[in-house]
Amino acid sequence: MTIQRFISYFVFILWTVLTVTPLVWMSYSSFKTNAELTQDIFSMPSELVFKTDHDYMVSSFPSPQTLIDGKQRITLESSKIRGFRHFILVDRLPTEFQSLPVGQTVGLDQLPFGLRNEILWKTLFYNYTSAWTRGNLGPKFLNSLFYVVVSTTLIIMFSMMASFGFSKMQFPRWSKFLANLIAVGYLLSIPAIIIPLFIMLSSLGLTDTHLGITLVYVAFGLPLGVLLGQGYMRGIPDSIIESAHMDGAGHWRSFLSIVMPMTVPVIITVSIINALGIWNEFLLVLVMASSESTKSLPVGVFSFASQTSIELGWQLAALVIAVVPTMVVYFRFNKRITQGVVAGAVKG
Amino acid sequence: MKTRILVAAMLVMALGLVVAGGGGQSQATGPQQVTLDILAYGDNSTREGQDWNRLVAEFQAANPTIRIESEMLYDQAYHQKVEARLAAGDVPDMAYMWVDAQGQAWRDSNQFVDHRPFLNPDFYDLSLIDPMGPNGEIFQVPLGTSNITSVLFVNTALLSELGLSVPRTYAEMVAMVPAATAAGKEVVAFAGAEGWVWNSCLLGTVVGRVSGDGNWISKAMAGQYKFTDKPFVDSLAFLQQMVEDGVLSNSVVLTDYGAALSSFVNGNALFMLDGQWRAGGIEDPALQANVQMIPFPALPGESTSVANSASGVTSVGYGLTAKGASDPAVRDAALKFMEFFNSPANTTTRLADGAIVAPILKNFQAPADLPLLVKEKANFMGRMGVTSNVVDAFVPGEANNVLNTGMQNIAIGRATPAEVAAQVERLARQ
Amino acid sequence: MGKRSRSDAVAYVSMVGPALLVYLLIVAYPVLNSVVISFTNFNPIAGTAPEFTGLANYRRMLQDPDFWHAFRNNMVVVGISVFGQIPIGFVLAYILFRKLVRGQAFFQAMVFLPNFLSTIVIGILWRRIFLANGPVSRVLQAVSGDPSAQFTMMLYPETVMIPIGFALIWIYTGFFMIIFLANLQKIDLGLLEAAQIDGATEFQVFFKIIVPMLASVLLINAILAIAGSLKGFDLIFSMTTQGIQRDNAMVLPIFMYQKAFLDRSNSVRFAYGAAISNAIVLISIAIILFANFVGKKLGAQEDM
Repeated sequence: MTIQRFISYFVFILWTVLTVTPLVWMSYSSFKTNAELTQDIFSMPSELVFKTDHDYMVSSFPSPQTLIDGKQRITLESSKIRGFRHFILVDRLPTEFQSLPVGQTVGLDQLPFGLRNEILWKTLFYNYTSAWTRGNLGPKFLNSLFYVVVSTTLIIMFSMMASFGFSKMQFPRWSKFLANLIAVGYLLSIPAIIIPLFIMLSSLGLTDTHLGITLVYVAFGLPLGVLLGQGYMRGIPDSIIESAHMDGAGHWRSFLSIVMPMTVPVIITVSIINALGIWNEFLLVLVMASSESTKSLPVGVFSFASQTSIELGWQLAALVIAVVPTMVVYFRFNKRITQGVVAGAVKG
Repeated sequence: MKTRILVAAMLVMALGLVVAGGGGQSQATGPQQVTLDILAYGDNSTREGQDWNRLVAEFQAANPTIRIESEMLYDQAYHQKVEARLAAGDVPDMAYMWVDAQGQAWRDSNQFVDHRPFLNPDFYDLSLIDPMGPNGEIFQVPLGTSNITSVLFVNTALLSELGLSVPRTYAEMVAMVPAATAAGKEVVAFAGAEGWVWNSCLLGTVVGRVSGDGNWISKAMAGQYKFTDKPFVDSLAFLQQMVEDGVLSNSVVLTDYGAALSSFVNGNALFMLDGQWRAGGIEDPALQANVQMIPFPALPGESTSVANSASGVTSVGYGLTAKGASDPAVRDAALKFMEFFNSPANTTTRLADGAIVAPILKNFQAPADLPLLVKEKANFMGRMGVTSNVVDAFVPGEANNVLNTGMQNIAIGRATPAEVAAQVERLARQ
Repeated sequence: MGKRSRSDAVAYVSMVGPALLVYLLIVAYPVLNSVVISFTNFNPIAGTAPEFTGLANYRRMLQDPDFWHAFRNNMVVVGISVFGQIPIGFVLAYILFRKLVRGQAFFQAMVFLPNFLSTIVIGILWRRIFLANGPVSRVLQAVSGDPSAQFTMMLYPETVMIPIGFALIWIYTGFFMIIFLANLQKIDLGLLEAAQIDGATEFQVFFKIIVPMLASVLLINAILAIAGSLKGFDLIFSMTTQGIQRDNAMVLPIFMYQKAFLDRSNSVRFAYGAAISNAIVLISIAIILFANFVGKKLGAQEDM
């Protein structure tokens, strides 16, 4: 093996280790209790993983479900994990357990097999279910998806239309000026104008609405779309469009049926970069969204990770919840993504 | 053909966006309904935050004519939102409020209202509420009495294992260093990586002790003293002393808030220096039984008037804004909610969770079955002398930030106390 | 002629209009607003009418030693991006292109992966790694045999940018690697072989053929890197603890954030923050023009 090869392998393997280790640590640690996490940051999870020797105490804590359906339940509270409760329908318990007094301790191994299994699984995902329900992450997840899909779609539409106008229509002076005007926006970031932006949008009544937040994402996605779209479209020979004109096609027609299909690589590139950025974006939603109905996933995750936060297990589970969707997309479409990210930036 | 489908799909989505955007704004408000817009404080992983949604739901169920619209934020996010909303004129009716330097935005926008005319003296014990304005005004209903920001948590089991006893003076702590080092233990677990911890959990107490005046900081801000005066410089020098003596470890500036707690609960430190709220982080019942909470031990030559003093600050809590108070219907709804929020049952929960030291209610009876460390807090209050000023409650913005970083630089030998004091003095007077 | 150009104009407006409208409303107007604000004592919280104060905010900024500290750090970040991420990305791409390692797809995926993680998540993770008695300190203790050894680079202004630079390279190099690789793959292999037959060494092939061919890609990457490093905020913010670490590692966007949002004692903090934001934009324009100028001197084609 030559020295070049050796160094090449060394660099890539080191890089891989550096990439994988923190993610692996985060993943397995999210199955540890708070106490385990404060004791040793590297140890393997144990308490949440199918421990049959946990004790439960019959608690007087009322079941929220019973208030609704009126069925009688017994509340079992874990003695190991503070505040971890199970509400069990009385008729699922063997008769000798049905009238246990409050304060009585029950070993997990004393429960019937099915029930015990159910509790073991719930225990395994304790951090995840807690993070999901307490952080109200379900609706936030949908909001994130909404922002990503709608904003990215609009970015593509508007920036490709503008790129077409700038590169294939006959107003060169205007085009140069306007294209540069929009391209300068690539240097700006949301934090740089957050104050005037917030003041303006609230005077329009657009803060805390999906529309307002989406508009900001669209506006900040346009510069890259125009930069790449324009550069790419310039590479498309004018003769193709001219001949379409000869055949009587209008501008819109040649844009939609000739240029757009040829611009797919740029569309993919701009979509990936923007979708990723919007999925992870934090500051804008933090400032603009007041109500639960407009908040996105990063804000939900952040609510578990403040300076004085004490539920480390939930925090890690929330991080995993935020990371998993992008990882799934990444590994599922890995090849197309790595090609797509650059397709639009490579001159054809 | 494909492109046309794509375009159609895009248009549908764009339409969906407009509909969703419009839908977000419309609210069905009944004619005699009162809507309360509340800016709440909390985090999904704190008890306080978890309780908020339950409290709101319970209150609304009992009061169908009052509609609560609340948003809950925590830490930096909360402060940023306050600024943004006030800047935009979007003032909530009621909010979780700081009344010291951290609540400057409320003061700047004239949103503080004196609550004394509104508060029911049979429900609240007004004498237990710290005055918040120059004329004894009350701008919010605090969650509890003064929040003690500087407590020394002692692991008595570990001390006796090493043949040591609970220290009464700083010199006794210094004398423990060799034994602790020999046993591979840290002396004081302290989250020195966070600038604010030096400020809130240590400096206020030290300035009080060194100067012999618990209100030294507020008097300095009022112009009576200078930060370059001897007591303040000596206080900063004392921090340096603590590191040199080995009472604070040489890695203290790298220890973050989670790491300090972890070191203490795992028995790797004899003491932990933190706010009273940190008692809630000590979960292990066996350890709880062995933890004592004491004021920082006596400094060399301190005056008896400040013996056992510790820094404390007016507790935060919910208050009406000037906007909320201006509408009688909203004001009454808010006061009703506050009484519900501070009901004896809810206060007991807060006490048991460790959020507060003691309640501000009239004739409050604490239940007997409180957790060990909550009872220990009461013992602490019995041991404590006068309350001294917390620095960041009085020293504003930039001067305070420079002070925080300065203390860390002093600890690693990169700045002298005199330099830091001079910077603070200059910035505090701007 | 007249009719044709009018319908052209209508089509042009309908193509360019939507993007321009959104952009002008959401980006351009607040930017102009922020320029105006920066010359006043704007204080929306007190609600007083803003008064013109001339260059006061800018003067204050230039006199603030923290500004120059943040500026210097920012230049370090730009340097790391341009002279770290880009060359390393280029070399990694070249290794993959010349097939010096097997499992090309796997390694490519691993190097690019950090781009898919949220910077906040990355920051929190790396902060843990550099903590007292954290993984890096543990390694140091094992190597040095001193159980109290700590990784202290995060504490000192001279060294804090080293671990941060490390993280920055780890995150963004993959992005540039992929761009280079895609461009390398378009190079005509016959050309390289012909050159080698003519007696050119590998070294000559690399510098005489490959580098000039990718000159414009290098320039574009440099511009992307500069723009990215001047607006970056999340990573350094979440990687440092509040206090000495963040102050030492301060870059211009964090400086702006601290002055505009955290310095509550300054009643004109929003105006001051606006002045700093404008300075950041001006600095990035200046550097990019400079990079463009240097690139053109070196023969790169400007395509953007």
